[in-house]
Amino acid sequence: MTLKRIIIAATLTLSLAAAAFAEEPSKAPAPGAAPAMSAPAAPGAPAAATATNAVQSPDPASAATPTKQKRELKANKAITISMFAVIIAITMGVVVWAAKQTKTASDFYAAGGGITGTQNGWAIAGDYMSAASFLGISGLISLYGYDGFMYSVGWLVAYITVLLIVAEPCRNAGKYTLGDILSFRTSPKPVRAFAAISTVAVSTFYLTAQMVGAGKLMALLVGIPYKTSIIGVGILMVGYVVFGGMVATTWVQIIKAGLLMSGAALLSVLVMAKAGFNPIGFFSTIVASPDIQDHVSKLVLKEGVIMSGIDAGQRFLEPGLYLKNPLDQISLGMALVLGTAGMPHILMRFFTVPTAQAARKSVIIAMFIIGGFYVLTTLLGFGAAIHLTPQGITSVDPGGNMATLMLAQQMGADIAPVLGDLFLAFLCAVAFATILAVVSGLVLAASAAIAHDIYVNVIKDGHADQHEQVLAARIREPPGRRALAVLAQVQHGRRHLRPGGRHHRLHRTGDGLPQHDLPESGSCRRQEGRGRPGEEAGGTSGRCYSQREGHQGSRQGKGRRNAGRHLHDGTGEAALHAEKPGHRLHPAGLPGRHLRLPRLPEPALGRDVRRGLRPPEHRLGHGQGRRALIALSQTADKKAGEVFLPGLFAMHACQADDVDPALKTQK
Amino acid sequence: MAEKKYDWSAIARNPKFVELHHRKRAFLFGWWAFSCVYYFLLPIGAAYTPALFKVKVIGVLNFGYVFALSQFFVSWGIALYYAHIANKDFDRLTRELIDELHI
Repeated sequence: MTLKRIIIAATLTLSLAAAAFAEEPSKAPAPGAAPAMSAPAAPGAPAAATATNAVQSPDPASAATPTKQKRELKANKAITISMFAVIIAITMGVVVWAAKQTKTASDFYAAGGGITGTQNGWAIAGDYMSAASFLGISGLISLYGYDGFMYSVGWLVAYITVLLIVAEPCRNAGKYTLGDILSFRTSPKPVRAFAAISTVAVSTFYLTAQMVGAGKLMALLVGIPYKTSIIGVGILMVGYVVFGGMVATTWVQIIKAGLLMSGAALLSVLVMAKAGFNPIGFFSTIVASPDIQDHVSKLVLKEGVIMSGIDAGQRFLEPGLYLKNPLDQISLGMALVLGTAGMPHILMRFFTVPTAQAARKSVIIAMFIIGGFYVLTTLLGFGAAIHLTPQGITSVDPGGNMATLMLAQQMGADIAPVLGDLFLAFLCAVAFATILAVVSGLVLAASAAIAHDIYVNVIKDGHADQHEQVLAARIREPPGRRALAVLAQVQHGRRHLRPGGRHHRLHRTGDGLPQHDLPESGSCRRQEGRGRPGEEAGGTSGRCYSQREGHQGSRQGKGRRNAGRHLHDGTGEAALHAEKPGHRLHPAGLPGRHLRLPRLPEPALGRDVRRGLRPPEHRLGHGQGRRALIALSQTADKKAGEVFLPGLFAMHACQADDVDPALKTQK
Repeated sequence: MAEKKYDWSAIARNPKFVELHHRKRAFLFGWWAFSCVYYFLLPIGAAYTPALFKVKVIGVLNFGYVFALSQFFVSWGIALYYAHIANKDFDRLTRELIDELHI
């Protein structure tokens, strides 16, 4: 349970930290925005500069039409809030459902490796398409035309790096976190610590931006105060992550990606319908729009270029309105292309699929979704520029972030006024879901780094060197077992029972004594299938197992089930037997023979277990191998099934099927 | 503890492994480099050859726009091609290697 507490604490801390950070920028633009209307653009922080730049242009325009200046985008509160409620209810339903599925640490961090390639593809897309893409990019396009579009290209191209360089090695070497991959062949402790710190740092910054987005969106749309909405989002995301883990997060992402795509597609169809489904005509309208021409004239006037009419309209489709310095563009491109491949919540998604093939497939699916989305975004951005005019957009939000939402309202209202409100409410809810989903993905990644890397492997793990890792690998824990290994460290003081895996064999031989140890369990596994040698070395055996699945025919998605089955082979029964410290152990198939295992001194290593009742765990070193074994023996909590933590899954799995009746009655 | 030892250096010398490793590396880094170069042509081109980007290709659409749009299709193309090659060649080679090593 300690691990759960750590995760809860980490999640809370992160959300609080993000909320605290998020407070800052809310104040900065607020006083800045009003005076900026008249003040000349003063170079300052990039964000402020963007805001002032954008604000400048509507200045004279709003002077001409003063009514426009105070325009606000107001959603119909009743409809919007009920939409929000529906989205929250759906996602919460998913969380409740997922909480029932989530029993082990592997489930918690990596959905037990049971996510299919297609599902993961949607989830990656969901993770990636943040509010920045949905609202920000289309806003940029609506204000700066071509540069906004060019901006969005990098977001997709980045996935080539992810696909070719990162995805498969990630899945093969990683377990739950970035630290797992990096410490695969290096000195685990410092590398893990730094990987975890980097993950937390990246997540925190990303999180802050998302939280600010959530707060502003809510404040702007439904009038929920900034602070309240940030706290609300924080609570929701903690709920998703703590109770649902990776399974819930994945499904929240999938739902959100689906909603986002359908929203964007619907809006694009409406926009294109107005243009008579003629793309060329659509772009001609942009060039010919007097409002856009006017807007561009003012943008280029700042650089001392005088331009008007069709030329200015055409200029909207040419580069250089937003990213003026060549180095800006190149630096942005590098950040996008290389940065994406390092985002912890994206990398983490590759730990959820059973095979390298599934990882590959998921990236490709994600690429099509993301690419399609950005192509649609272009239509939305240009559509907003045509139908709302850049002046209208900046009068609501100088950064243009409300362009999509305004467009939704306008397009809907053109059909029927109620439809406008409804459509706006729908897109608001989608944007909200987007933020929630991205935020929970980030929080999950960060809490995995804290709990798994820092706590389990750095603080609690002395020295898991390569040798021990190989040993651990040879036991080849399926995900469930691996989970136990994680918990084992947490339940440090409670090691005294015999490693459960042994029971399996005990049961067969019936002599009540452990009859096999590591080598056998290794060979046992080998009968079932072969893993790849590379994986064997890294303590990633659970993955090996499913990797093999993939090789012998792409039965993706069965990894989880197989893992579960495997669990029964070796460890499940054990888990069932394990009781609380000092409780009696009842070896399978030997009713009446109760063994009480002594609590052994920790350094009793290297003894032969067969000589006594000494748990084989003590024969191993301090590393993962030992932990894995210890783990098998722990798993004690009777209430286990209710919580997500380790062992408990094993119990559950055993209860579900193939458990020896003798074992069951014993319970 | 009769642990199964893998002779890593033997595996590393195995011609099948060498071939797999070489082909994978050449393919992955080659296409990655290509996609990077192709992508960076966009910001660099937009910054340093604005005249080229202004050339109208279809109606009011200029070369820059078409080029940016082509990035999407090139990316999808690379992705599909990689999936094709990986499923056809790399996975097969990996399977053969594993069978040969009896692991």
